[in-house]
Amino acid sequence: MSTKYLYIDDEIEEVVNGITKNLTSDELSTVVQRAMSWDTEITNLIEKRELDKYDGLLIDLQLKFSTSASEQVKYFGPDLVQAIRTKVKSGQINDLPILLCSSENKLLDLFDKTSLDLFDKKYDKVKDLSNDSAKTELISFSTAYKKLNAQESLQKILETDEDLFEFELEFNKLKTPHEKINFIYNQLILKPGLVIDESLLAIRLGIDKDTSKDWEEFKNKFLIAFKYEGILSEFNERWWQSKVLRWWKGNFNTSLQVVAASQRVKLLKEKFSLDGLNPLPLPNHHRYETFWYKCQLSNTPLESADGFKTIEMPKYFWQEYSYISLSHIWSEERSVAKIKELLGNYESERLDEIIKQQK
Amino acid sequence: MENVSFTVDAGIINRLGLELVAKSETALAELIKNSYDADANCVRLFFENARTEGGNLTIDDDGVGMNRTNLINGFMRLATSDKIHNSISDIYKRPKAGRKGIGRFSTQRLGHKLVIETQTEDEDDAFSLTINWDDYQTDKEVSSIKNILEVTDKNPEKKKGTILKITNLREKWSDADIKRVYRYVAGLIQPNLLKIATQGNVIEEDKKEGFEVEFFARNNHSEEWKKIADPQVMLLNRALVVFSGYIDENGIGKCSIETKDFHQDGKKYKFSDNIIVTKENQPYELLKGTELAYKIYYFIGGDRNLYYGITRSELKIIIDYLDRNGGVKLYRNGFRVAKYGEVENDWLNINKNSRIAQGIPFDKNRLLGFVQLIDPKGRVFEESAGREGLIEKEAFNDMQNFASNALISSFKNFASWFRTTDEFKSANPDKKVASSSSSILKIADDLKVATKTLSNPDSSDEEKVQATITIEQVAKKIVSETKAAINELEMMRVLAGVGLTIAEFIHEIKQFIPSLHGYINNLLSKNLESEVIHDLNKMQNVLKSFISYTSYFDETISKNIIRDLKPVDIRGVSKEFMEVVQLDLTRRNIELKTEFTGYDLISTPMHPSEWNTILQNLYSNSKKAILGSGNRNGKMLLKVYKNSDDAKLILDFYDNGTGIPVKYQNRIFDAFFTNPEYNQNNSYESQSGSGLGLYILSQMIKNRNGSISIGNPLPDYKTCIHIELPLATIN
Repeated sequence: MSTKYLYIDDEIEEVVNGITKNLTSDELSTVVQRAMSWDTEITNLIEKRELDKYDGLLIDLQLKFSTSASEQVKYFGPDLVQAIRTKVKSGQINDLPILLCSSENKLLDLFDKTSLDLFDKKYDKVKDLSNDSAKTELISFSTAYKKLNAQESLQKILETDEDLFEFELEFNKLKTPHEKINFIYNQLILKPGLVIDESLLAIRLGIDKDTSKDWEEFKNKFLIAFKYEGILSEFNERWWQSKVLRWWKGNFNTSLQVVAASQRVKLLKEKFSLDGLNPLPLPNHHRYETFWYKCQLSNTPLESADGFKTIEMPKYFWQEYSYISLSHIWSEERSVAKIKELLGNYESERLDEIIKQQK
Repeated sequence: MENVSFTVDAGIINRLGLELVAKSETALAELIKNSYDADANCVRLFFENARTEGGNLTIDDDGVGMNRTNLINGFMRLATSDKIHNSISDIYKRPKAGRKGIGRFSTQRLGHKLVIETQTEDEDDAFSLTINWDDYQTDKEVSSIKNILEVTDKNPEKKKGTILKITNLREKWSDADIKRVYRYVAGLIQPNLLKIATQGNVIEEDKKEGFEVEFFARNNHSEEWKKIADPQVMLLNRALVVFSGYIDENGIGKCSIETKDFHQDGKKYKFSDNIIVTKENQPYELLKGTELAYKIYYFIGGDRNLYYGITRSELKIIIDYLDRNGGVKLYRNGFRVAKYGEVENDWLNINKNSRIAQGIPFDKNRLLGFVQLIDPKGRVFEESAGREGLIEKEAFNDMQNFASNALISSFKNFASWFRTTDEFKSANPDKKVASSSSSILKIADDLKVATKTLSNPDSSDEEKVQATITIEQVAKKIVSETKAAINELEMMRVLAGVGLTIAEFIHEIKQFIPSLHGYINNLLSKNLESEVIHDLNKMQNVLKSFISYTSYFDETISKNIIRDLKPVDIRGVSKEFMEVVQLDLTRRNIELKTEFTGYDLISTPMHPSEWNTILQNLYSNSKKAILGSGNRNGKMLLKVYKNSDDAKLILDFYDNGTGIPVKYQNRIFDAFFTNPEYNQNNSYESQSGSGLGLYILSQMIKNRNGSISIGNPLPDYKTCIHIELPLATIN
C-alpha cells in the first residue's frame, strides 16, 4: 500500500508541484494543500479528521499567503502542529509523522527548541527535499508510525532479540508514538552506544575503510548479521555493537578493545582470507593503536587516552563519551575556539598548556 | 563800452581737485604716472605717520625734472597741458599715461600742503615750489594767492628728478590702501632690459630702460623705512619660475630655469637647472654675433594661491594684470617692437603648445617677459620706411625658433619637477580619499591655530596673512574632503541598495530551486530517450552550480545580519568558499589550490561577510583575468600564512591570467577602474567588472587596519594580490 503525505505550503501551485514531483514514486504520493486560515485548517484537519486519511504531514515553516482574500493566512507551521500533537495525545486523531520544511533556515532560530521537537525531522527545502533520500525518509517515518500505532513490542519495533533492559525501561515511560519514535531516533540511532555507524564499526575493527578495497565485501558478507533492522533503519545504517563484540570474542577469544588495530586487521585477514583490508595508521601525537572512538572534530580514530573528553556527556548510560583527538589538537587546522566549545574547565586548562608549546 | 574778463574764485582749485580726482588712490596713481611720463626709471614713495590723517608723503623720482619755465608755464598754469602737445615721452618714447592737467589737483587731493623740489640735468639750479592749498579759499581771486618759488642748490646725489613732498595728508593710508595703488600703476611697470656678459655666461638686468615703483612706510622718525608694496615683490618675485637664456658667441642657446621656494617632503627646496637649445643639433648660425636674450616669468592661473603663499585677492591682482599685459614682448635695440607678444599675437607658439605639461597650464597670459635683441646692423630685422617698419628676415625665424624652443623645453623641464613638489601634490591629490577621523582632527587643529593668530592683537601682519592663507587652504580642503566623502557615501548607498535587492532576489529564487529539481528528477525517472536524459543531466549539473552560488550568497547575506565583529578563522571561511566555487572551477578547467601555514590563522575582529566579499572578489577578478587571457589551463593559488614576527595575517592570491600591466598597478584599487587588458577579449564575462571590487576590498581592508597591494607573483603565475591584516589577539 502506497504511502500518502499531505503537504501544506503557501507557495504557488506551480512551484510546490515541482517539489512534490521529487516526493512522488510508486510507494509515495504527496497531496498538496495550499495553506488556509487557522480556523479552516483546525476544522478540516482535526475536527473533520482529515489528517487520518494521510500517513504523514509535511508542512512549511512560515505560512503567510493564501489562495483567496477571504482566507487570512498568517501563522507558523509549528503553531498548527502544536494543536495537532495535543489532539493526538487526547486520542482525537491518530498520530502521524510530521515533518517541517523551510527555505529559510535562519527562521528556525525564531522558535523555542522544544517547539521544534514536535517535528520528527526538519528539512531544508533546497538542500534536503531535492535529494532522493527524502522519499525514503518520508516512507520510513510513516512505516515507523504504523508500527507504533499498531502497538508492536519494542523487540518488534527494533527488530532485535537483544536484551535492551535499560533502554526498554526508559522507552516504556513514553506515551505517544511521536514521543517514542523521537526517543529511538535521537537517543538510540543518533548516539553511538547500543548501535554504531559504519565509521565507528570500521574503527573498532581497526580497519582503514577508505583504503581497504575489501571493506564493502567484508561488511556485507560477514557483518550483515549484526545490522540494525528496526524502524528508521531505511535511512540510518547502524550495527548492533554488542553483537559485533560477541562475534569477535567468539572468533578470536579476546576482547576487541584490548587488541591493537594492526593486530585486529591481521586476525581478520587471516580468518576471512581478505587481502584488501588495511589497518588504521597511528595518528601523529597518538600513543595507542587500540582505537575505539572517533574525534568529534576531525573523525580521527583514537583511544580515549589519546584524546580530550568533551562536555557532551551521555544522557543515558548506554551512550558513549565523545573525544577530541590529540592529533587534531596538534594539527595547524585546529580551531581553539571550536575545541574549547566542547571542553570543560579541566580539559581546557590542559589544552592551554599544549597551545603554549605550539607558539 | 567796457572790457570785462572772467575772474576765477580761488575756491575752484579745491572744488576741481575733489571733483576731478574722486579717490585718493587714483590721485596717487596719477602722480606715479607723471613720473613715468617724465621718463623716470624709479619712483619711490615714502609714507610717514600716514596710518592716521595728517601724515606726510614724499614721492621721489629720477625723471627729467622741471626747470623754471616748466614749473611756471606748465605746473602753475591751469587747464593746459604739455601732454596734449607731446603724447610720447622724449627719452624712452613712452606713450604718456597721465591724464592731462590732473597732477597738480592730485597733490591737492592728497594733502593740505605741497612742496615740489625739482631739478633737470642741464640746468645748474634746482627749484623748490611751496603751495599751501588751504590758502585757496572762496571769495579770493585765484591770481591773488601767492606761492613761494625758491632757487636752491642741486641735490648732489641725483642728477635729475622731482620730489613731491605732500604734508598734512587728508586721509589715512593703511598698508592695504597702499597696495591698492599698485594695481593702478602695475601696467606701467617695464621689465629691466638684460645685459649679456660676453665672458661669464651671465645675464644681468640693466636698470636703464625699466620703470620701477617702490612704496615705503614708517610710523615714527626713528624707525627704518619698511617696504610695503614693491612691484618686484608683488609681481615678479611671485612667479613660480623664471626662465632666462641667451645665444652665446657660438650660436648655442644657453637657458636657465630657476624656481621660487617650494617644498619636497616637507623640506624647502628651490629648483634650478640649465639646458642647451640648438637648432636641430646645430648652432643658430644666423644669430651668431647678435645679442639675443630673454627673461620670462611664469605664473599659474586660477585660484591656486597656495603656490604663491599669498592671499587670493593678491593673486587676483596679479592675474588681472597678466590678463591685460601678459605675454612675451620683443625689444629691439632697446625699443619695444609693437605687435610681438600683444594680446592677439602668439609669436612664440605658446598657446599652440598649451598641453605640453598636462594639468599645468601653459598660456601666454600666464607668462610675463621679453625677448631682447641687440642687432645694430639689422641682420635680423631690416628697417623700412613704414611705421611698423620692420621686415622679418630669415634670421628672424631662427630667433623665433630659439625663443619658442627654449621656452617650451624649459617649461617642460620645470613642469616635470614641479609635479614632485608638496605644493603640487596637495593641490592635485592623486586620489580623493574620503576624510578620515585623523584628517578631520588636523583640519580642526589648523583652523584653531589660524583663528588664534587672527584674533591675537600681537600678531604681525605677516602672521595674519599666513593665517588667512591657512584658513583659505583649510576651507578648500574641507570642501574637497566633504565632496569626496559625499561621493563615496552616495556610491555606498547605491551599493547597499544593490545588496538589498540581491538579498531579496536570492530569497525569492530559493523557492524555485527545489521545485526545478523536482521537475527535472521527475523527467529523469520517465525512461526518456538517451539524448533527453543527457540534457536533463546537464540541467541538473547547472542547477547544482546555481544552488551552490545562491547558498553562498545566502550565507553572506544572512551573516550580514550579524552586526558583531568577531575574529575570523581563515581556514574556515576559505573552506566554505572552496566548496562554493568547486563546480565553477571544474566547469572552467581552473585549478584553485590552497596553502595554509601556521596555527591560528585568525584575523582581527571583522564581519564574517567581509571575508566572503574578499574571497569572492579575489576569485572573480582572477577568473576574469584568466578568461581574458584565453589561458585554457587557469591556475589560482590562495596562500595564507603569518609574517615572520607572527604579528600579521598574510593572504596572497595568485593567478596566471592576463597580469596587471605596470602602468595600471597603482590604479587598480581606484574606484571604477577596470583593467583595460581584459577588454581585449570580447566575451561578456571578461568585461563585466564594475570597477568597484578591488576598491571596496581595499576600503574594507584599510578599515580593519590592513593593507592590500600588488605582490610578486610566484613562478607560473602572473598576478599576486597581497593582503595583510592584523592577527586576532589571544583574548
